[in-house]
Amino acid sequence: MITLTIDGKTVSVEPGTLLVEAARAAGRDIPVYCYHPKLAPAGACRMCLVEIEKMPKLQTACTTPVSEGMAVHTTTARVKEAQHGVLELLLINHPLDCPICDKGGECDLQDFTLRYGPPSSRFLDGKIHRKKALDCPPFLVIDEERCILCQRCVRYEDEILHERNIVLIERGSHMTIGTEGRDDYGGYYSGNNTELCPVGALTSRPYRFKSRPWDLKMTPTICTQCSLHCNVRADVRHGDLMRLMIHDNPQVDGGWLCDRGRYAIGDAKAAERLSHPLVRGGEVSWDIALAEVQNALEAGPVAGLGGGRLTNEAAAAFKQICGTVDWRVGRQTYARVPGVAEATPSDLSEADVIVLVDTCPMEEAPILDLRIRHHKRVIDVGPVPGMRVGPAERVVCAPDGVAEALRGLDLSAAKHPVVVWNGRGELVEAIRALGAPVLMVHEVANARGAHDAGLETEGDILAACAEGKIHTLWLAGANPLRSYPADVRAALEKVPVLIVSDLYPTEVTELATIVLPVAGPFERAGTFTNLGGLTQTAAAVVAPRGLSDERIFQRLRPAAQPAKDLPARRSFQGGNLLVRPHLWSGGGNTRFDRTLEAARTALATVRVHPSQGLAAGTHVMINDVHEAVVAVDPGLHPAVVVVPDRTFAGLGADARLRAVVPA
Amino acid sequence: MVLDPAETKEMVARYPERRSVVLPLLWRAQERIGYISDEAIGEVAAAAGVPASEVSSVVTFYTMFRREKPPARRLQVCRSLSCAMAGADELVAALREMPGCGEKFSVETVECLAACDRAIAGIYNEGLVGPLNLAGSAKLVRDGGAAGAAAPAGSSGAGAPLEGGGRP
Amino acid sequence: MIMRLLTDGIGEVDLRDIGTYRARGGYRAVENALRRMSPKEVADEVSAANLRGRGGAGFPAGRKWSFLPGDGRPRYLCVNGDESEPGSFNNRMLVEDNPHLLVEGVICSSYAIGCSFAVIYLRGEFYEGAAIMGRALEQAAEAGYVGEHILGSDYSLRIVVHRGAGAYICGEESALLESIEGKRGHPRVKPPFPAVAGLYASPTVVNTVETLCCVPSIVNNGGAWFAGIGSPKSPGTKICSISGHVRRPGNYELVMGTPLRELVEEHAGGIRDGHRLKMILPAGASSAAMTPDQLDTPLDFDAMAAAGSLLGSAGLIVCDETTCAVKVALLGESFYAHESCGKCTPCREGTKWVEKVLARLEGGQGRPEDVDLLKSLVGEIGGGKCLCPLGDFAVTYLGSALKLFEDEFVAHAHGRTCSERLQARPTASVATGEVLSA
Repeated sequence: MITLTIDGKTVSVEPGTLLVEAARAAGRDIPVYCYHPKLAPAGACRMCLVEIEKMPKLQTACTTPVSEGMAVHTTTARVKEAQHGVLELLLINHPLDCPICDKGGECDLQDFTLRYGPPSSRFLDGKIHRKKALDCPPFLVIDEERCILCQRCVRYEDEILHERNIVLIERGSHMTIGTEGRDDYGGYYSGNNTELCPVGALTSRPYRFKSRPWDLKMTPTICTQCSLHCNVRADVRHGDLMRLMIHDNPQVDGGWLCDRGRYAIGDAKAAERLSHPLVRGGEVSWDIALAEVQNALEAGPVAGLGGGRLTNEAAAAFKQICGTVDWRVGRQTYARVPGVAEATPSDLSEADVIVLVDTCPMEEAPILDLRIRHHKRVIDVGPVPGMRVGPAERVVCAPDGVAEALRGLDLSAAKHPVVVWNGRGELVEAIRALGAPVLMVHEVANARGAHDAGLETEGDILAACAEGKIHTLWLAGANPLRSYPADVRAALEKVPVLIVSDLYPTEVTELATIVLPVAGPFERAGTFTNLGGLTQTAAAVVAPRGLSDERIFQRLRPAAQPAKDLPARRSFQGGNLLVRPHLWSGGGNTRFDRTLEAARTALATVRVHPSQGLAAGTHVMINDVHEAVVAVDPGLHPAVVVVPDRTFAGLGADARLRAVVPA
Repeated sequence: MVLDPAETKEMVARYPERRSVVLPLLWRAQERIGYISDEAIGEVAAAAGVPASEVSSVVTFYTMFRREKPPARRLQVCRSLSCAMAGADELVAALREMPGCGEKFSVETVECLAACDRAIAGIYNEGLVGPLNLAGSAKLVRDGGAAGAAAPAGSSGAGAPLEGGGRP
Repeated sequence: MIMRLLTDGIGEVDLRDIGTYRARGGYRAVENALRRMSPKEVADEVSAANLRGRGGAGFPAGRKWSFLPGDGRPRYLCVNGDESEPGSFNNRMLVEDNPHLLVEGVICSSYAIGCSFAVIYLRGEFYEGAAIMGRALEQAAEAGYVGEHILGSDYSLRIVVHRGAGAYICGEESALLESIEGKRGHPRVKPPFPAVAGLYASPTVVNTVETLCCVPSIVNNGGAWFAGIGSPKSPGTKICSISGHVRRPGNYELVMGTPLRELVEEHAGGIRDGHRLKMILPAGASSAAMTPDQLDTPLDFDAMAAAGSLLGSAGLIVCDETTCAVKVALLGESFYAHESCGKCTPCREGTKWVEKVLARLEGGQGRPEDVDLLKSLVGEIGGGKCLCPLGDFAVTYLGSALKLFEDEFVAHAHGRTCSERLQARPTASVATGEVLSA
């Protein structure tokens, strides 16, 4: 430990600690703009100049590591003069449009000017005017005039994302930040910039002119858009959820959020939400609806599908009520690899080799990818590149060749290998043979919790429906017409009583006998277990629309006759049309989220290998039904075609692609 | 295709790390087509293994990279101390009054060219020129080529005998 | 006193031709170093020579080299040929007229520090210099001085010419490294210094052109010989670039410690006819002005610093009495505002503000409070508050001029101009034709 004094106060810190952090430990605040604990020191803003005894010049606290016996002063006349100077210089071209600035009330330029700034400006020579309210779709708004050029955003883009969506443009007094060469942001993590930005230069379109921070009630909770469960702070104004903010949990999110998690928060206000229980299309009271449900539970063999979006408590209750339940209504088959150690997100940071098994973390759990794209050694196995940013050793194989490709890997030299897999396909044996801990990435948010609650069956419930073996099928937050790898409409139509509990009217609520509107995310409390096995609590921060799933199950008695003797589970391997997760189309009900419309393109994108001879931008028809636009990806296995998940209902592995001339 | 792939490959190989080739390739692109096009930025980015936005950002930092095709005759006049003291501002103002300025030729100011002994120094297209006077510079931008009063700067060996140790 | 160590033969023969260069003893240092000396012996001679960096800071090259950690990482040598300080033009002469001397210096120095990849970074405006340097490297490679197994030894060296593209800041060593790495030329936070984490985060030496050009003669004649030339604490010669209101602007290679007066009055021929000296900016636009009473100051690092200014890269700008101190400040500040990289606040915002105030003053729109404002801004930007020295450079002359010529600033602040002073042409400069009467 290194011992030093800061303003006369003795403090001991780890060697290598920067003065700015040591001062925090000593209870002294040193003002900073460019410094951010998650970014490399830049020494750019010069706001943190301090006086160190025996050093003639002032030093930046954000770049100076502590040394033994150092005597630091943060409030001397020289320091104050320097702080005055920097603030005066930062303000000369600042527009001072605080009354209409979203950052007002939580702006470091306001706060530091109040605490450290000069009382007035001597600048009389005409402010430099720049672009304001510059839309940077889908979510960002850039104000060049408010920018103090602390460069946190561009460093975040470089050091954390390795993407460079926002860069510095020009130099000197002409320097600005922006997206150079394009108008839109182009990535999945733009929102973090609005929190990194110490001023109102980077704000978000969804939160624009929505609130003042002092009107917000702030509650810690978790995001359940994917299976990582990033910690968030939910900011509510007068009962309305206004925004989500980072609530750093180093074990989970490392202090970052993806844009889907941050912005897909419109459920509570969505106009399309189911409002009343429906029985055979007619609105009924909850009492009548639940009585109908109870009757159906007692009328014959019962099965439940879904549960991967429920809280752990609701999942357990679902199991108790229906008896035979399976959360697997999509392409994922495994929530765990039996007999293999479970890895956590933190293990990725410790790993010396990461093996991606036909899995794309950026699309499936975006914040997880931020731990992978930095990694020095990633082996990316599969027909579709899983590594979208950052270097990887690519092992390209055919869709049915993944197991064989895995058998070709030798991880014996690795000390801490971690395998990342999304539980799709029959790869358990091949993965187990790798002998490394596995981090599962799930298709639905609480697959891990549902698995733990026992929501899995040996057989295939939908196949049983098709065979007429099920009387009552309950779909809890599940829509197999969009997520199941085959067309199961006929199976669903064959079920005498179909119960659907969900937030929105969907393809399955149309077929349903009984529809139960349930409380959405942020409307119900409960626990969720993430992909690393960590159980965390979600808070109810806004009033529920509908009953919570858990409350519904609590009002029912268990089914008299849980379904038995189900047909064997089907395998969906084979074929070259691959349906793969895509951030903007995933996440259950996010397709109803109006805010995310800004991020979605009118037509879905299909990815093909250059050897297919289709130029980027070509329009194609899938099965002569769905129109899509082509993107060319040389990283693909030459034979495969990739379409986004949950975009086209009932797309089988035998789908065909036909190029069309766009209208 | 702005760059020659074989040459690009050879240039990349000169450096221990790929991204060092950004400036050399940007220069190469500008030599070939007169400016840095979007296509050139894409090619440089691909060769250097960095995002195109990063290459664009780099281009805006360095004043000698152009994003638009310049006129055929381009005179850059130094405006820093010694050249300003020799009348650079007046020279530039006078040249900019000439018909055709901006279309047929351009007159720009640049900072010190490390040729203060030839004040007023300049760069005509890609060669150092000076000392510049109005008559010579006017001829240069009007007719092109090396003009009498705007002697191209070359080796000091072409000059008068050395007074001391250096260039007269 | 003139001593032609680095400029010998320039203007007399074509040293760009390797045959001519070798006929005059060129590349003997490479042969001496590689055939007869160990790398450490070469470094020891450079240390013994007390060769101080010619780029401005005057830091001993031998010590700089000694900071390289021996941890198995590759080492790099980067030649700073980004010469951009207004008033300085000695490196351009060396690059264009004595390129093999630089190549030879780079080879000897690379050998001494155990580097097998060196970069000669030349500012983008040196179109011809880059071509000349490229040809010199080709000739040197053909002659076996560069490449694999130089002169049959185990030592191999690759040298590339890397062109800048218009950015003064790339003369700052860490910005230069960024530029070689293909990035914007923003100075890095130090420490770590380049010796520890430089090019590609490996140990790196950055030396300026003139410094490395001194190395061959040190190798050939020994460090003690070099240390005996000129001022004991600043040995060797210095090529002084002199321009402005003198009769014979140019480069003059002088023994360190030669009085400033000798350079101005003898070699540069004195102030143009009918005029008298007002001030000298001895290290270009970034230096504190010196006045006629300081003409006896010896031209070396320590004496110039003691006189309140600096030797820097010895780009002397001489101004006669017709020169307006405010206009010179404006020209200098415009330069720094243009060249500020924008990374840190005081330099980015401050230089532009100072430029605006000076432009107002110079244009007759001054306000009485402007003089105090300028003095205060010198403090806000200078005094080591910026990330790199550019901020200090940007206000050094201004700070000195506000003391030496305060009356001129006050006069401008009260609405008077004297821009006509600058329009008088120095007669020593080649006639500027119609511009004179414009």
